[in-house]
Amino acid sequence: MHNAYGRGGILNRNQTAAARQLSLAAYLLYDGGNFRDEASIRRNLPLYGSVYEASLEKGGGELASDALRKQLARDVDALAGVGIRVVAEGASEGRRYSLPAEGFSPAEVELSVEERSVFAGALRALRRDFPYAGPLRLAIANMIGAVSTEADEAFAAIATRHDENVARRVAVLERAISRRKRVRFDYFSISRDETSTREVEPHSLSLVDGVWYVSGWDTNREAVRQFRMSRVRGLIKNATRKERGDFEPPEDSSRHSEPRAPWQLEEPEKTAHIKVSEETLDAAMHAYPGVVEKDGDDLVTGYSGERQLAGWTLSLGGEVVSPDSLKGRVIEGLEKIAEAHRDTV
Amino acid sequence: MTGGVSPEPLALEVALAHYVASMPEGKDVSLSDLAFEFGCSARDVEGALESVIEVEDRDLTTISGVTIENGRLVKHLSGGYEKGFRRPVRLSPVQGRAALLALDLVSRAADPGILESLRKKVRDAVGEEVPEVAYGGRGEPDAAVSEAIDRARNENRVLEIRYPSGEEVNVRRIEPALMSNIEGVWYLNAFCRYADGARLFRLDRILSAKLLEERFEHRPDMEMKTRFEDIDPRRYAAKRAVIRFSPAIARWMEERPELDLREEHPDGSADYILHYTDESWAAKRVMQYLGEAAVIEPEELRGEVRRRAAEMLSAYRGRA
Repeated sequence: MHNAYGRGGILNRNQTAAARQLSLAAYLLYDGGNFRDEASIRRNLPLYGSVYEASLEKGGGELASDALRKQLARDVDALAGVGIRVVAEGASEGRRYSLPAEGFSPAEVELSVEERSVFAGALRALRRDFPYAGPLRLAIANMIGAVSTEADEAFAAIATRHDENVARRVAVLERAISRRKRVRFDYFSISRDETSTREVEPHSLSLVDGVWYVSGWDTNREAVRQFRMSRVRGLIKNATRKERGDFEPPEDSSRHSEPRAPWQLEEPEKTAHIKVSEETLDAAMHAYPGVVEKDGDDLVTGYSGERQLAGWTLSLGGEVVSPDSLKGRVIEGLEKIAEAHRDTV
Repeated sequence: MTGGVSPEPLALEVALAHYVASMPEGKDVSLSDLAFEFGCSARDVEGALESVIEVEDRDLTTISGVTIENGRLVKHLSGGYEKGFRRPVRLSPVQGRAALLALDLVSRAADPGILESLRKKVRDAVGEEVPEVAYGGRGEPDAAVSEAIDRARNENRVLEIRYPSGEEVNVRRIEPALMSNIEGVWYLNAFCRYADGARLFRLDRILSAKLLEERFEHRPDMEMKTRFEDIDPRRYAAKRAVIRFSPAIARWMEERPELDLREEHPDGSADYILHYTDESWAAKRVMQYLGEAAVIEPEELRGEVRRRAAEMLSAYRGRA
């Protein structure tokens, strides 16, 4: 089958690159995991043949082989970037390439009916303004085919307030994280009530209680910091002109940056015992796993922020058992509350 | 996609190569439908398809014999490379991240067991450690309640829940229908036999859920609350209060979704509207600010805060 039907126009550079990379994957995949050398690649695939020939005219065979090898290395990288793993072995003229089936397809691929329905349902549930909708659609298309063929009922509806600014910031930071680009943005610090320019090596994104955060290394403060996206002002810009690779990602970059309990923003130095109802205790342990523990009927937590913990205690309707300093802070607060609500305003 | 995360270069072409390889011969589809399915513009789809069509070897082996005609993708013949491309494709890191986050987001609406196996398959499909978007919220999924709701929905079985209403806990028999999530908070749409009508239950307030043997008939006419406007606390709540925040904390309140600014005062304090249904909940909300917030109206809620503060103070003093 040839593709002469109605092919219109000439492909641009990016399209040609994509076609060349796909043709390499197709050719090697077809070969069932056998290795192919560079000569057979350029002879069989016209898009590689032309890379070779373009250099051949300029500088002869050696230069042409070199150019082809460099192009192949870049294309193998590009394929790896989307998860397709071409294996390359050997050096210089002896270099050979293969794409075993598992380099293209995951080993365990069958999804059960229920799994398909949850996966496709997740997309439907998230229609509104999920910033990752585009990649999610491709993930579903890759694993179970285009979703319109799946006819099942929706099992959830996820609605968020539409905030295009936040969605755009998520997109920019996602790209910066993937490419390890340092970024610069103006940030409103709510505790200091001021806006300042921050330079950050972004490590990861998090979504907590419907709020987006980015965490990363703040180069001026020389510490890992977390930034709330809604407090970013204006555009997020690249800090350097490099295409990628301003920094090395941290060793442990997966799921490490959940916002901490407000009373543990610094290293906890004291321990509080608080009396709450049984149901409140269960809910608190769910909400702050690892932070809140149970001791008999009491809730126990370490803390550094006394004011924050005193406030949280009152929001739970709880009573401080110990220490006295925290108890004093709550009593002081209660007196102030009583004073503020004494007479009709 | 406007404003959203874009897939990596080549990701769209690979997904389309898989798609055309899986199309039956003779089938055609409009580029605009394809663009919708793949979450991009029709122009992007066309550009990527041109690359897929361009793939051929010396013997003119292609992925598939497809063409673009009058805004439609038409498949004429199978291609020599088709077999390899028909298999499910590995996911890119961004796709893996997208899928895992989506599963986290629906985690309360689906059976935890199915979610776990699906997460594993997605991670396997990426095949390398993906830095995930950390997802969290107040109240991690209560697996027992989620699982009971999921089964009740799938098997049309009546669910008995314990649910607080004011200061009491009621036992209600409900027919669960649909889960809704607004800004990280899950609600269950259900027909409540106790109230004899459609009701919305906040999932983290369901204290326990018991699956009964009794079956229910699907109610096609039941009104579901699934849109942001439906479950916006402003509409969901029955009462409103005016709360004045002191200059020390007023600026923090702008980010609170449950509060609407009413008035800023020259001294830096600000009045916000708080919407609520449950008085004791609202009183605790106000009290957490340790006196930096005061109820201006209604008098009812002012009185509730006053009463609670006095009661707690005398409890502390009594023990001292």
